[in-house]
Amino acid sequence: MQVRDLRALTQDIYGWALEIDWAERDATARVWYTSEAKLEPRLGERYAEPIEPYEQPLCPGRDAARMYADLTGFPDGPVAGFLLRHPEHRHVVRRAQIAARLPYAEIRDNTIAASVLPIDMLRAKLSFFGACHFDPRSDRWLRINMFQHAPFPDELATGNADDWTYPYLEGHA
Amino acid sequence: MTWSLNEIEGLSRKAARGAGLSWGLAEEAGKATRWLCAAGLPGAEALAGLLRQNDGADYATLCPLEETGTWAASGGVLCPLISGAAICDQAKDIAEGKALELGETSFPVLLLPYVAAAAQNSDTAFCIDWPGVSVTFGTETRVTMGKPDALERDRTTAVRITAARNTGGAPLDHQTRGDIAPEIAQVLTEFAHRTYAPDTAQSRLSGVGAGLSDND
Repeated sequence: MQVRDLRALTQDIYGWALEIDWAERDATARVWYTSEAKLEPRLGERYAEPIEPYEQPLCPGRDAARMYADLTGFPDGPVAGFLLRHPEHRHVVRRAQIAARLPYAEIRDNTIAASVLPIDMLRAKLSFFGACHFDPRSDRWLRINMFQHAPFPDELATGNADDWTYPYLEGHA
Repeated sequence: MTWSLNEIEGLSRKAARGAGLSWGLAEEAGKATRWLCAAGLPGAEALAGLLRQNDGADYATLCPLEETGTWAASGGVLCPLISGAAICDQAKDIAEGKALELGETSFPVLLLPYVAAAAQNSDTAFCIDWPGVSVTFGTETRVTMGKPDALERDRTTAVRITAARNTGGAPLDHQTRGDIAPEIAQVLTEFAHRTYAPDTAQSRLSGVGAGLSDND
């Protein structure tokens, strides 16, 4: 892949991110990190907690915009040359190249905005994985249940296997 | 203790990040270590040795520069993870017959997964040599040992990658788990630990995690 192709790919996949003003604090208010205490994924406050050095690469929009800034003005040639000079963009190049083939592989919204709610992304994941029962204890809750009320294999042939994801209605047989 | 290949990849990725590599290169390190362990080769040992050796080193001193036709690092010794990723991007040239020469390189066994990927991507048999060993990637991977410890070396003076076919040597077995010595796992775990953020009072108050109620 050539640098000019990567530039076009970035515009195509991350065009929405290139329009965000990343200097605004609200655009980068949150940080995804892994906690030492429980080794669990968490979302923290970038400007209130000393957690930025531990940031996970889970902000593709901002990272794509940073890459695009470095791509602009970089001489054309193989992307390999760009990545040797800018190893910090390697993970975004991988994401862009994957999303070019598999459009549903990428989250096309700002995952570190002040307004981000993990619940929104979890709802999308629910539809992929078959998770249904979701009982958040806070707006940062990341835990879900999967396959609640799902039929067992021996029940598939005899029962109705279409509507099990819907919650049971109160008072309904 | 044996580890699943997925665990090895995850631990290696986090360890490489903890040692200071970019996330993208850390992802490559995870995949490379997994490949080596799946081939029954000492990938975790090599990664642990490399991360310890290069801990805190500046990327620019480890990165390949080509000024004389041979890749060399400004700091003297090439990092196989950085060079390996670049080798994949040179696959077309190698397949067309242009040999790639590397100067002094740390833990050269870590180059093998990248050369394997380059050979596969270009649908051509590749061969990598350094003093004491030759490995060919064709329909299967074959190793010819000149010196018994050549794959465990922490440094070699020169590496050559060509499209030349070398059909000799013993084929590698495929393993479904990796055996990692506890002291090596400990080194990688300590590097990986650097990627974990200590708890803060704010994080608790803002409702992250399960807190004291962790019973559902």
